[in-house]
Amino acid sequence: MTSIELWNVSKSLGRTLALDGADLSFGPGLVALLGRNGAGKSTLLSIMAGLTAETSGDLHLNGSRLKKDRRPLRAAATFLPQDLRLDPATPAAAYVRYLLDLRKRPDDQLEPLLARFGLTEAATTPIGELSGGARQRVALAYACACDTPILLLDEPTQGLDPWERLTLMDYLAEAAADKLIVYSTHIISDVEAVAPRLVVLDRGQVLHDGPAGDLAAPLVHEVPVEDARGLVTGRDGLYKVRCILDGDPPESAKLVEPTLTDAYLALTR
Amino acid sequence: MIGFHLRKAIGPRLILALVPVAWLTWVGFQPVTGTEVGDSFGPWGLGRYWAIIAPIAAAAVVPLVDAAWREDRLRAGWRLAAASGWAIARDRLRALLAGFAAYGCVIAAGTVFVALRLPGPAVAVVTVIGPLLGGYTALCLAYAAGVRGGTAARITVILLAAVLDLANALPTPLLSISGTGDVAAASWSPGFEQAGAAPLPVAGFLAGRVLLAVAATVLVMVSGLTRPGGTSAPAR
Repeated sequence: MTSIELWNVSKSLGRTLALDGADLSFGPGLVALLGRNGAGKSTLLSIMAGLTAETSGDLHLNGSRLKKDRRPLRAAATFLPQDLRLDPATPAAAYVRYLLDLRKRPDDQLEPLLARFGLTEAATTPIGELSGGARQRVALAYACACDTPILLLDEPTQGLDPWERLTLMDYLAEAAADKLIVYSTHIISDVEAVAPRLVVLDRGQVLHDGPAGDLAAPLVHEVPVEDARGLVTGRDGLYKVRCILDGDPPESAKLVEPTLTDAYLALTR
Repeated sequence: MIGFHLRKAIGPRLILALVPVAWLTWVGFQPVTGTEVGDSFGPWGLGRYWAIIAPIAAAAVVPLVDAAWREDRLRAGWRLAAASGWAIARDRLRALLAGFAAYGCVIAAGTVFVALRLPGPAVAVVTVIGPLLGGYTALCLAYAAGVRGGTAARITVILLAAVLDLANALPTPLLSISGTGDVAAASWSPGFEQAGAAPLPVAGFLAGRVLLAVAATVLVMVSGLTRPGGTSAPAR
């Protein structure tokens, strides 16, 4: 069973501390990574993929401490970066086969994956002629076809429509039975749907590590607002704003059930 | 996987590159006696004339193979595949060979025109062996220059090699793209001046060319290895 452990791992990018003393342990399963832009999600994934060296701290792969040589990590992990750059002149399937050949991975799973991600007809189309969502699915098909024990996906649902997101989440939930899959996202509903474990990063620090339901639920109030023209639209002049208040709520406020989004916003505000 | 890179270089641009080369070849070679640009050129003159065309072909091929050699696209693929240093070196070699194959097609197409105008055993030597052997090294150097300097650096290297060859300014025959410059005259046996003979590269010249080609290949394979996959990866 594959495992990665990070012991007090930090990463400096110039004067910025992108990751600040992260202590995390990962085994097979699906892990969602949440955090604001610049929170350190991509840096964490890149370190876990063996593509970026940490400034300090230790990494352990399957119980063994990794030294400078990160080839074992790169062999075990597939990382799909957020800023995808695929060769626009090459047909989708040919490009994925090329990438698999570079990694010395078999391509026997490619055809079923292309079908699963709805790319069978687009397989012979140059990538530059595909829509943004289709390009994202081509990259996902590559990442999944690698069939490595560790899959690291940086905002994999960007550009996907709801049906495509469902297909992906369905696949990830299935594949997580025997793989470690870590994916970053800004879409809370993706987390609520499938990820049993949630890691929240903010300014390089781990704020939460555990089930999404364990996030401290804040007190959320709905406050009626009058004359909110120009800010929001509503019906019959009735507006309600969900808010997490620092002080006492006004008399008109009504306590409501907090959502995961509320909990996340309260944690990272 | 050479085919993967080669496919990107094939297209209408290949025809555009071939047309001027074919025209130059056609008007330059006169049946039996020599060339139309110099009555007494003979086979040697043909070699020198071809020395003009080969660099032109190489210079035309460099932008032609740009799609296959584009560093940013190659690096993007290597990054996505988290390619190891060895995998990158191997892929660079494939891309280079794809470019060389395109170049070889241009040379071969030119040879067809020459063969139509000037049948004889010297044709193959003058129009194929020289430019292919020297062109490989020239393209290697151009590729290695392009890894850091881009397309402009590639074309500069090729044109510089061509000009030095044409001006007979090369210190050694090994650097001649065509292999027919003055310094390379003794590298063929029998000499080009002997009409009807089929000159072949002498063993020393051939061995030197092979060694130079191997060295140039290694240079290509190690180009840019300090940044594997185009990422900030650890040193190893």
